[in-house]
Amino acid sequence: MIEVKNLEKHYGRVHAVKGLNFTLNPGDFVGFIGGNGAGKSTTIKMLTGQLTPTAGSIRIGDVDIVDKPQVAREKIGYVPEFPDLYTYLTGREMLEFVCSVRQSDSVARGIDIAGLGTDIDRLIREYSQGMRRKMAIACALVASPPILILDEALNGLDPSSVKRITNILELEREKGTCIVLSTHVLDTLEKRATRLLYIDKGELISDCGIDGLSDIRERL
Amino acid sequence: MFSINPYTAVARYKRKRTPYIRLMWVMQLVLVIVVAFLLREPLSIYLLSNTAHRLEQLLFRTGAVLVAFTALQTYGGVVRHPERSIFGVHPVLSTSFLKTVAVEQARHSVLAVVLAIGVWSAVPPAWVPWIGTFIVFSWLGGIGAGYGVHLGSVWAARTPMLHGLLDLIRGQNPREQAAFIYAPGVALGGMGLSLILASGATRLVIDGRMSFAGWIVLPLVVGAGGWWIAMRLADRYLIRAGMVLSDIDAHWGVLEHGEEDNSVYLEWLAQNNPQRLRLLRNSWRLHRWITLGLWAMGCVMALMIWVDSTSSAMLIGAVLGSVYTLYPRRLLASEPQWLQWSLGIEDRFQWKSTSEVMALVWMGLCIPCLSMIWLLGAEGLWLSFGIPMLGTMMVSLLNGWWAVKQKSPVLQMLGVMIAAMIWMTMWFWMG
Repeated sequence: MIEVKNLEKHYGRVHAVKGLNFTLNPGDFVGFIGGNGAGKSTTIKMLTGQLTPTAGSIRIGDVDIVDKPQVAREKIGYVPEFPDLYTYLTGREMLEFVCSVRQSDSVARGIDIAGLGTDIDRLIREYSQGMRRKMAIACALVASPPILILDEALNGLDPSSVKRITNILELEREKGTCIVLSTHVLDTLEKRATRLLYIDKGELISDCGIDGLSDIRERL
Repeated sequence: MFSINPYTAVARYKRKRTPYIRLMWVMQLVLVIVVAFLLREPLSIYLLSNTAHRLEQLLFRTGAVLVAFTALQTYGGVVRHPERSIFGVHPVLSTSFLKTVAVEQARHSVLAVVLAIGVWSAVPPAWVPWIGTFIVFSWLGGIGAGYGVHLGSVWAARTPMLHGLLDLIRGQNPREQAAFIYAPGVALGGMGLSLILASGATRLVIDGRMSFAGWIVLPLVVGAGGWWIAMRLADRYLIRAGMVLSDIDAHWGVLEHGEEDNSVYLEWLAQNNPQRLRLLRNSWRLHRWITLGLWAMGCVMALMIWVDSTSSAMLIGAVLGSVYTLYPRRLLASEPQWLQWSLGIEDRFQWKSTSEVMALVWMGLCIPCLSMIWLLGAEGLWLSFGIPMLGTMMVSLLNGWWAVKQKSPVLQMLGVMIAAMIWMTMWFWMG
């Protein structure tokens, strides 16, 4: 589903990502772990077609993301680390916008995922940071894309919201969605992840099952 | 789902729910009408002699300015769209997006057309429809050509075929950025011939040679060609523009991080004043181009004064001075307000420091001009330049206070108008 080969990203003399290789399959719930500045966000930006790799390739299904970024993006739901939303729209209108560009009619599902109740009809500029993050997650999930990539997406959410959203993610995974969750909160991964990718200084240090978590915890 | 183009729906909501957008537009319209009114008389006087040649030249230049202006705006629409971080994480309906951006751009830039036609309003009425047609076609042509060229520049930034050429002309910039930097020039070059022919044709039609009327449509034809190309390139290159842009920003981020040093413009004047020092650092590190630009334009104005072209120098001063009054808002936008509050810094101290930094930066324009006046011993010019320079500073202080108090941007526009009026008054007074 996601095939990464010899992926590199250089910014001048800085090598942010050095020769990553991994393949992710449908139904994987991948915890993408690394310390600050390890290269997680750069890798995620390349996986979602926001950045061009310096070398190597990323295939989303049968599509190379550099050759056909538009086709690849249709398969990916993405929550950036600092999600931006149209603050002059209501939550419902934001979901309508996303459904329009994704050719989906599942606004009601998006409203359920956001879990904002009647606040869904308030302007986003009136939302708290946590509410905005829930909206961003709902926008990524609303059209049920086969791949979900979430960059620190659960940061700043209250525990009950984290539990509710991870439950939704688990249901998606059971349906065959491939989920990549970058997070520092290892407890979340302990309960949900099926696989862990640990990256440090741009290099893949460990690609293991959830049983490798305690080892990674010690390294971190 | 929206029943119409989703980007258009979003743009409509934005207009509806951001009340100051309309107010700003009205204020700008008033400003444009005032400037057009002030310029119409000098233009008609200028056309009294050597009319045919001057008419054609002025038309061509008006068209070229419009094309350059719209081409720069197109860059903001296609490449550096301010909301790219919102819509860019989803798939992009490229052609729908492009149509919306083009309509929004036309809506914003129509004021330039009002200004361009307005300055011609004192010429014989029979000329105005033809001149208006030329201007509108140049404007629309510029928009169409701008989109074609800017999406083409995304292709140019990546194609190995042009690596050699871009490396030759890029200077210190990353290769991809060279493609973007020169794109407005390419748009202007592409439109240039059509503007030459159309402005010549407009002059001939005004002279009564109606058989040339068809040539006036040329800029529109070129623009339509550019738009046609843009619609075909959009699917492939609109998303890539964001990828290229991220690479460019990352490149500069690394360079700036690596080259950052502690020295700041006029830092020695703020050694014992941490508030002033912080704002000076803010000004120099985030908006260095303003300080450098003012020094450069100050030198240009000084040269103009030297060659006895004081009227042109004043016009440049009027434009720069009016726009400069908006700087406090920009400066304070990058100041963390929560920090001010948590440190208990009072508004008046923040305003005082902002004012001091505004004055220090503004000196970049004043010093070269006033030095030249002093060197030439042109005593008559002291007041002509000194008063509007001082007036600009005063208005900047006022705008600074409004910015500190986070008042509506409409008030800032009022400040811009006051500054423009001070400069224009002195310009008239100077004769």
